[in-house]
Amino acid sequence: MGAIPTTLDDGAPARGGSRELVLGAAAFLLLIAMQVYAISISQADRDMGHLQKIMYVHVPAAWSMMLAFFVVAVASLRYLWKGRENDDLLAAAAAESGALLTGLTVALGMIWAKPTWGIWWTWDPRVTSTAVLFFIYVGYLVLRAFVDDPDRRAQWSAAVGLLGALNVPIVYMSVRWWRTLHQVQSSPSTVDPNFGLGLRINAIAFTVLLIFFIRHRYVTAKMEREAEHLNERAALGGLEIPHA
Amino acid sequence: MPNNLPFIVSAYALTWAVLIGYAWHLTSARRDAGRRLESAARESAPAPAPRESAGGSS
Repeated sequence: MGAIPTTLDDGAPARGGSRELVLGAAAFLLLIAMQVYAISISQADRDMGHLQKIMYVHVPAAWSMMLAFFVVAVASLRYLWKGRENDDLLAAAAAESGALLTGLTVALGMIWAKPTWGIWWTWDPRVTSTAVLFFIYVGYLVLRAFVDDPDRRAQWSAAVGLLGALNVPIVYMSVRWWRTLHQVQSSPSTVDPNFGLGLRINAIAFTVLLIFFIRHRYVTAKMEREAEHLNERAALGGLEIPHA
Repeated sequence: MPNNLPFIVSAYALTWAVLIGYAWHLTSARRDAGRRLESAARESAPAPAPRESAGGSS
């Protein structure tokens, strides 16, 4: 990541978002194309019929969520090791996107569960561990919102971020360790070849979208921190502050 | 087989609502951060040196 894309010299800081705008538009267009393609080529499943089409949003959302928490874990470790503020901001950006995708994964799972399992919710290990993951990262975001001291906030967040990431392998393996209602992991190697391509291309589209979300949030967080630093400098440095 | 179309439509509608809603939130947060940064930079900049009055007192 480079310097903050602000253009304070010419007084147009918001212009730094044009790169994100292009990446975001490309990510959404890619997702539309991939979803239309996957829906149009996939045939009805023998047992579930066309309900299997929910897989093209539920499974990629779950994969992206895990990827986001991997970024949280790496950035949190780096922060604890090197103490760089940028790693803390990157972890926070990834945690926010990850929490959103976890919530989406759970909600999509419930929509899929009702017609296939006959219930909206069950205390299945996979479903429960995913819900726990969601609440850990909601807690992470609440913690960041309530701790004012930046150093303490970053240290505590890194610890919670790492603890939360430890839950990710449990979520992933839960369907094998405790085989219950939820099927085993859906991946191109475990689903019918008819659905593999659709799953792959939607996973790519979700990954691009996740990169856009994390990058956008990270750059915004850097701008917010920069503004805080400038305000602190103005307050403590004895600089003359012109008042209107 | 029961008609599952409402579930499929709900799943895709929810996905798009969440993703577009979050992208909108990010864009608006970015705009606000830009404004705050601009304002903080203006306030922390040293005050301009007072200009000499050309015409004296009016």
